[in-house]
Amino acid sequence: MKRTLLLVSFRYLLGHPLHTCLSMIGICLGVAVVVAIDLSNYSAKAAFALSTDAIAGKATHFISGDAGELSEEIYRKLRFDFSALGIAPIIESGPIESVQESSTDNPIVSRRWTLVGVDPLAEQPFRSYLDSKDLNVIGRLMYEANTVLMARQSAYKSNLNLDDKLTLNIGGENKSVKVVGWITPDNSVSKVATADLIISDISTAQELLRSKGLISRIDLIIPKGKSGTQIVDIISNSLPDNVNLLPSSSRSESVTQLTNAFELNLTALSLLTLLVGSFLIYNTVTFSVVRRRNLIGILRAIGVTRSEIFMGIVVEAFILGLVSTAIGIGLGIVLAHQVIDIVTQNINDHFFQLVVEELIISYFGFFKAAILGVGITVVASIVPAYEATVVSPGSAISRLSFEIGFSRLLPKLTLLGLAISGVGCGVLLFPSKNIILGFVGLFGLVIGLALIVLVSTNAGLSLTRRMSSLRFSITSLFAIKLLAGSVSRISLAIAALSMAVSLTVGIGVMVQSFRLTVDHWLETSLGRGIYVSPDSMSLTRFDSIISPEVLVRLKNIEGVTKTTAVRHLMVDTVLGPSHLVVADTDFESFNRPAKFKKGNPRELWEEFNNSDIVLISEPFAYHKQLTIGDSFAMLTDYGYKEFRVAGIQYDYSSSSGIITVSKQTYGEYWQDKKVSSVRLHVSPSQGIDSLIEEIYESTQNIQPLQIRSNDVLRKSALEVFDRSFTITSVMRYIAVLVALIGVVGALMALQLERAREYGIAGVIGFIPLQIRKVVMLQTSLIGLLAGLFSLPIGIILAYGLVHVVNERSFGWSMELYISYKVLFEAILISLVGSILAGVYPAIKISRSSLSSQLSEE
Amino acid sequence: MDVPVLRLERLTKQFYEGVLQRAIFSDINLDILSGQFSILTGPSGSGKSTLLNLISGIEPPTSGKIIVDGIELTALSEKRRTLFRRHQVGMVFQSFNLIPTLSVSENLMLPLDLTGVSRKEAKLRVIETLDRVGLADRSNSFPEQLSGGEQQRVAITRALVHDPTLVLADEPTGNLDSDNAHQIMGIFKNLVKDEGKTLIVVTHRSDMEPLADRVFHLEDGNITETFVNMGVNVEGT
Repeated sequence: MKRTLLLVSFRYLLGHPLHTCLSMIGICLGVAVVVAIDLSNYSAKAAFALSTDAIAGKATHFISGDAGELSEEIYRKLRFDFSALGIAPIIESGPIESVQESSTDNPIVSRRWTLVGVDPLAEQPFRSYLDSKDLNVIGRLMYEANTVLMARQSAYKSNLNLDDKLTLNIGGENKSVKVVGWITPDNSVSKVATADLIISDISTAQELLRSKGLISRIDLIIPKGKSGTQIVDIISNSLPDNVNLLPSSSRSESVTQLTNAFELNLTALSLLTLLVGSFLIYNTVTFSVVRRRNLIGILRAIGVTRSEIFMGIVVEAFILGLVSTAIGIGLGIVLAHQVIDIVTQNINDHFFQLVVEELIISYFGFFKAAILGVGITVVASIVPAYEATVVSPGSAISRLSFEIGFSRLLPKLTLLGLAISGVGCGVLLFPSKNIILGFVGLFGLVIGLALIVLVSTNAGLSLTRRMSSLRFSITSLFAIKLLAGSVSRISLAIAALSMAVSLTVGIGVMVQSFRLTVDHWLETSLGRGIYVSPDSMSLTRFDSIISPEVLVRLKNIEGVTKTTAVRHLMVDTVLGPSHLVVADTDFESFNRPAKFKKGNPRELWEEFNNSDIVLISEPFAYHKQLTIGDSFAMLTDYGYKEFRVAGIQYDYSSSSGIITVSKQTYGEYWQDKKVSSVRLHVSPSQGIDSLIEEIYESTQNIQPLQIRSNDVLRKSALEVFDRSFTITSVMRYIAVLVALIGVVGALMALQLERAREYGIAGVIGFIPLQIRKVVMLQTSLIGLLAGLFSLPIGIILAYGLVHVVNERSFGWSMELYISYKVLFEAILISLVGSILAGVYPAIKISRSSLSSQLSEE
Repeated sequence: MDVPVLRLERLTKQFYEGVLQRAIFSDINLDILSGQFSILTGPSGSGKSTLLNLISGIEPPTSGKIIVDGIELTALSEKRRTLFRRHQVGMVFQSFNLIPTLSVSENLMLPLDLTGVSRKEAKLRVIETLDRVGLADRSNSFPEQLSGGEQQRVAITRALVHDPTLVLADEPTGNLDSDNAHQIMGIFKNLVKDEGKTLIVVTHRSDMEPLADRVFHLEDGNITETFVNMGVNVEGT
C-alpha cells in the first residue's frame, strides 16, 4: 500500500479520537471477555493438571484400583519383583479443611489442603521437593506420629512455624498434625502445585484417613523402548483384575473431561459477545466511510483505484483490530482475575474440588484471541470497504440512489437470511450429541434472523411512515421521514441491537426456565424436615460421614418423628467411576411421579426394595446411553454385579449423573454402614428453627454439621444455581453495552448524512429543542423496533439453548418458561439504552452551525 | 497534420435521476490538439463537469468514444481508466479538494507516490514545483492554514507535479475573488506556454475567454466552438 495513502488513514484516525475509540470499544470488550473466559478455563484445567503432575513428578506410569484404592500388598510384591525400578506408593486425600484457631496471638488461618502420604525413602527418583538430605526431617516424618511437611510460603500465610500444630477436619473428625519441615520445590510450576500439599509418611496418612493397609496408587518409572514395553506387559499381567497399570498422562484427562461442556458453553457465549462487537465495527467503519466520502472522491479523482481504496479501509481496520485486540487482551487478563474465582467456584460446586492459586497465562490463548479479534474486525470492515469503492468523485452517488440500490438488495438479503436460518435450524435439530454442532446451528440461526431483521426494519419503517398520515406532530413526522429515508444505515444498527438484546432474552429465558425447573424439582424432592450433613460436604465432596454418636443423638431428639439416612459414595462400574446414592426412603417420598422421567414409582416400589434394580438420573442415562431395561455392572464388596435400570429420574444436583439404589439392595452387596446425611422428619406442630437450635447445641462438640430446614436447603441450592450463571449474566450485559455503542455510531452517521436536512429545518424555523426531539424520537423508534425484533429471536435462541445445547451439554431436560419479566426487561433495555445513546448526537446536531450544515461539500 | 491529443467521437451521456433517464448530451464530436488551452462554458446543468469526468475516465459514457493520446479510454476497464487518470491526467476542482490531513508537500507527494516516483526524486520535484508557484515557504502548512488562492495554487501544482498529458480544471476560480482568479488563470496560461500542457478549463467567467486558444459552449446537449484564438474570432471580427 502506498505510503501516502497510509498516512491519510493514520491522520484520519488520530484526528478523530472519539470515532476511533468507538471503533475499538466493541472489539476490546469482546476480546476481553473471550480472553477472560479462556484464561479462566485454562487456569482451572492447568491448575488441576499441575497439581496432578507435580504430585506425579517423574513417574511414567501409575497403578491404581478401579475402586480408587488398592492393597499395599501389591506394592510390596512389586518392590520385591522389580527391585531395580523406581516404585513409590502414594496415598492421597481429597481437599481437607484446616480448622481456624484463634486462641493464640497469631491465629492459625483456615484453608484447604491435600494430604499426601509417601514413603520418604522411595520418593527421591520421583519428586524432588522432599529434601531427603535433611535426615533429621526425614527421620521425624517417619518415626514421629502425625508429622507433616508443607510449603514454607503456605505455612507463612497460615501463621504456622516449625513444630506448630495444625488441626485438620478429616471425614468429620478433628485431627492434629505437627509441622516438622518444609517442601522444597525447585521450580515455579512445582511451587504453585505444591502450595496446598501436606506431606506425611504413608503410615501416618493411612491412620489419619482411616485407610489402613490401603494406598491410592503406586507410581513407577519404567524405561522407554522395548524393555520398558516388556516390563509394562509383565506388570499388567501380574496385577489383579480390578487393578490397572496406566500411563501418567491419563490421570488428569478423564476428570477434566467433566468440565468440557461447561467450558464450551462459556466459550460459546463469549464468542457471541465478540460477534456483537463485529457489528459495532461494521457500524463505525461505515460511519468513517460516510464521513470521508468527499476525501475518497478526491483520491479516486487523482487516480487511486478502487482496490487501493478497499485495501486502505481494510488495512485501517486491521490496525484498529490489532490495537483493540492488544488492549482487549490486557483488559481480559484483568477481567480474568475476577472471573477465575467465579469459574473455580462453579467447578467446585458442580464437578470436582479444585484450588486455583493464581491465573496461569496461556500465550496460545492470546494468539487465538488475536486471530479472532483482528479477523473479525477485518471481516466486519469488508462491506463498508466495498461501499467506499463505489464512491464516485464526479457526481457523488446520491443518497436516494443508494437507498434505491439497498432496497433492490432487500429481497436477496431476505433470501440469504432465510437460507442461513434454515441451515442453522437444520444443523441445530440434526440428531447429534455434538455440542459444537449445536452452537454452530444456533449461531447460524441468529445471524440468519439478524439478516431478516434488515428486511423487517424496512417494513417496520414503512408501516410507521404510513401511520404518519395520522395526526402526528411535525417533529414526529420529520423524525420518521428522515429515518425511513436512511433505512440502509439504520437497519444494521437495529439488527445489531436486536441481536444483542435477543441474547439477553435468550439467556434470560434459559436461566429462568432452568431455575424454575430446578426449583420445582427441589420442591418435589425435599420434603418438610431438617437436613443434617457434615460441614465439609457438598455436591462434589461427599466422602465425609456423620459420626455414629451424632446419629444416636439425632434419633433421640424430641420432635423428630423419623430419620431417613442417605449414603453418597463413588463406586466403580463398567461405565466408569460413578456417584452412587443409597436411599433409605419411604413410599410417600418415593411415590412422586413428577420426579420420574421414565418409570412408574408406584409400580416400582416393591421391586426397588427387593431386587437388583437401580434408578438412574437423566444425565447419567444421557451420557451413558442407557434406558429402562438396560443393565450394567457395579463393583460391590463381592465383586462385579449386574444391576438393571428400572427408572430414570430428574436430578439437577449432578451433571455427570447419579445411580440410586435402595438401602436394602445396598446392604446386600456392600458391607458399609456409614451415613452421609440424614433427613429428620418433624411433627407438623414442631417449630423447625427451635429444633435446629437444639440439634446444634447437642452436636456441636461432637462434629461440625450443616443443619438446615428444607426451605434453607432449597434456598442454598438455588444460590449455587445463581452463582453458576453469574458469568453469563455479565456477558449478556456486555453484549448489550457493545450494541448500544453501535447505536451511537449509527446515529452519528445518520445525522452526518442528514446534516443538510437539519440545516434546512433550522433555516425554516425548527428551534434546537425541536431538532433534539427529532433525534430522540428517532432513537426511541430504533430502540423500540430493536426491542420488538429481539423478542422472537431471543425466544428462538432460548429454545435452542434449552432443548439442544443444554441437553447435549449436560443431559438435563427442562421446560421452556417464557418470563414476561425477561421480555419486558429486554424492551426496556433496548428503548432506554437507545434513548441514552441518542443524547450525544442530539446535542451535537442541534448545536451545529446552520451554514456548515447547508454548505456544499 | 497535428494528431489531436483528445478526440471525442459521437459521445453521449445519459443519467438516471431516480427512475427517470435523462440525456445530458448526445453525439458530441471534438478534437483538441496538444498544447492547446481550451475553455468550456455553458449554463448550469448543461453537463460541463460531466464531460470533464468522461474525459478523465471517472465515468464511462453511455456511448461513443474518447481517445486520449492515442488510447481509447472507452475500451478500458474501470481499473485501467483509473490508472490512466493517475498517470496522464491532472485534475483541479472548484473547491480545491486538497487532503486536509496532509501538509502541502504531502499533498504533492501523493500523486508522485501513486505513480511510483522514488521518494528522493519526489521530494526534489515537490520543492521545485512549490518554488515555481511561490509557495516554497508553505510546504509544511496544512490546507486550512492557506488562503483560497494559495490552496488553489497548491491544487494546480498537485495536478502538474506528475507531468500529466492532460490537465482538466472544473471551475477553478469559482471560489476565488477577482484578483486571485486572474492570477490562477494566468498560471494556467503560462502552463500551456511554458510547458506545452493541454488544458481544458470549465468556467463561467467570460472575461477569461480571451486567455484561451479555443472556447467551446455546451448547451442543450450540443457543443459548439465559439472562439478560436488564431487571430480570428469565429463569431465576430
